[in-house]
Amino acid sequence: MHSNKYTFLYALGVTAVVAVVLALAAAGLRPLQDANEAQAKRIAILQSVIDVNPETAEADYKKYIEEVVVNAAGDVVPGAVAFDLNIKKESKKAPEERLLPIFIYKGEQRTNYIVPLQGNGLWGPISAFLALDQDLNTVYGVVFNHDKETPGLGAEINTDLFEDRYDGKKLFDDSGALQSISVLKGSGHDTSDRPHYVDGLSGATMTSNGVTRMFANELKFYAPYFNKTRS
Amino acid sequence: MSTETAAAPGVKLAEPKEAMFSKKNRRLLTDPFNDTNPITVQILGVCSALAVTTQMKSAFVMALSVTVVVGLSNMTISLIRNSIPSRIRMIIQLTVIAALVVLVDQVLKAFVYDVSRQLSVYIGLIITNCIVMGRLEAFAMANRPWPSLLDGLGNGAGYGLILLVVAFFRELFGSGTLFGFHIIPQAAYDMGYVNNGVMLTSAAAMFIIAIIIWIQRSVNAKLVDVS
Repeated sequence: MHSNKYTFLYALGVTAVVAVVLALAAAGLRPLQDANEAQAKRIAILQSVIDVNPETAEADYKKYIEEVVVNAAGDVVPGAVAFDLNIKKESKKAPEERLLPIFIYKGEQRTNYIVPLQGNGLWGPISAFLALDQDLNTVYGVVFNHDKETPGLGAEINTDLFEDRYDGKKLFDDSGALQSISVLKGSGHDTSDRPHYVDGLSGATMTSNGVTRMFANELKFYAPYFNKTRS
Repeated sequence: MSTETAAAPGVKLAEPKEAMFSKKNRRLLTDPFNDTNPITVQILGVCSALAVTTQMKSAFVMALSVTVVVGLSNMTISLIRNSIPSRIRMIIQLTVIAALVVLVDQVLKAFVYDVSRQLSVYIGLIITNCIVMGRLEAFAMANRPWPSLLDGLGNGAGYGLILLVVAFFRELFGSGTLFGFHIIPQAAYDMGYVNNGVMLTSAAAMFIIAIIIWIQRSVNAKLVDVS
């Protein structure tokens, strides 16, 4: 039997060694990981408007995407870089100080406005890139991402099956008020004549509610910019 | 966890000099493929075998990650086995496993980002994979580093083999692809062939593992329960 002192020192020693090894690995691999994350972000942004080939994603992004940062009043903020904005940090600021990134896709035939959204699912953060038509009302496409929603249930939000349900839906009603888009509870609803609702996912009500909340909470900050740009 | 790990007790190697790949050492590598397979015989690590086997690619990366983690943690623990205070030995084992898993996770994020996204939580859950701790307790604590490394790699590979077999059937019949390449020709779909959705659910993995166990036991006489 080892003495108490030995046991304590041993535990401390092991912890110290492990800490140093992990810190070195994290610091050493960070540049590669950051590059991967930036690439994944570019692909996700492009994916909301076109079919992406990962090989050409970086070039396509430079060619087609124009970045804009606006404030909550809907005015463009010069000098801020949309791609590098940390949405999570921004969402903690007072609403009037918040900076909002927008990515504008300028293709040969059409222009789309892509808005990044961030919220919480059941187990962790979820995010989306929502692409709008030039009327800043009709959804052109959406790409969801999640960290740790349940595979087969909540994780279904980033499948084409779910994402395609948003195509053609509307954010604003006829009077011009922001209605956002809500996910219905359960699946099997016919939403063809309900422009502000999409069919839900059975067994993933918490994640679906997270998606609904994310749309409602984040889009209201963008509404002033949408209204200004449209008129 | 420790109650599950008694299935394959380690053999104490007493001889001071032994060839690197002696018969005994080779058996450490090969036994887990059949006689002491972690999934089909020891019934360990079934959770992840259900979760990551819808596609060959994620099953392969998972198998590789587990093999690396079991091999290296077995070796590390074996190196320090005589100095570990017995009262905190499980915590030390867990620390070593957790550190290795975090390392693997970081490396995957840096080099195969999409696969790491796909495996998401399951990489972190290698920490709780009973195979890893089972081998540490049953083998590494009582054997020297080299045999421990072999035992770890063997068990990881035995686990991986089953993962790949299960993933093969699930991906082929569930999605019609293997490693993402289309195998079942479009003509078959045109004639009315439909992918089997059940294969994509975890239940299918359970059936496949059960069938593998059934076949293995009817072929391998050593596994037949005498009682």
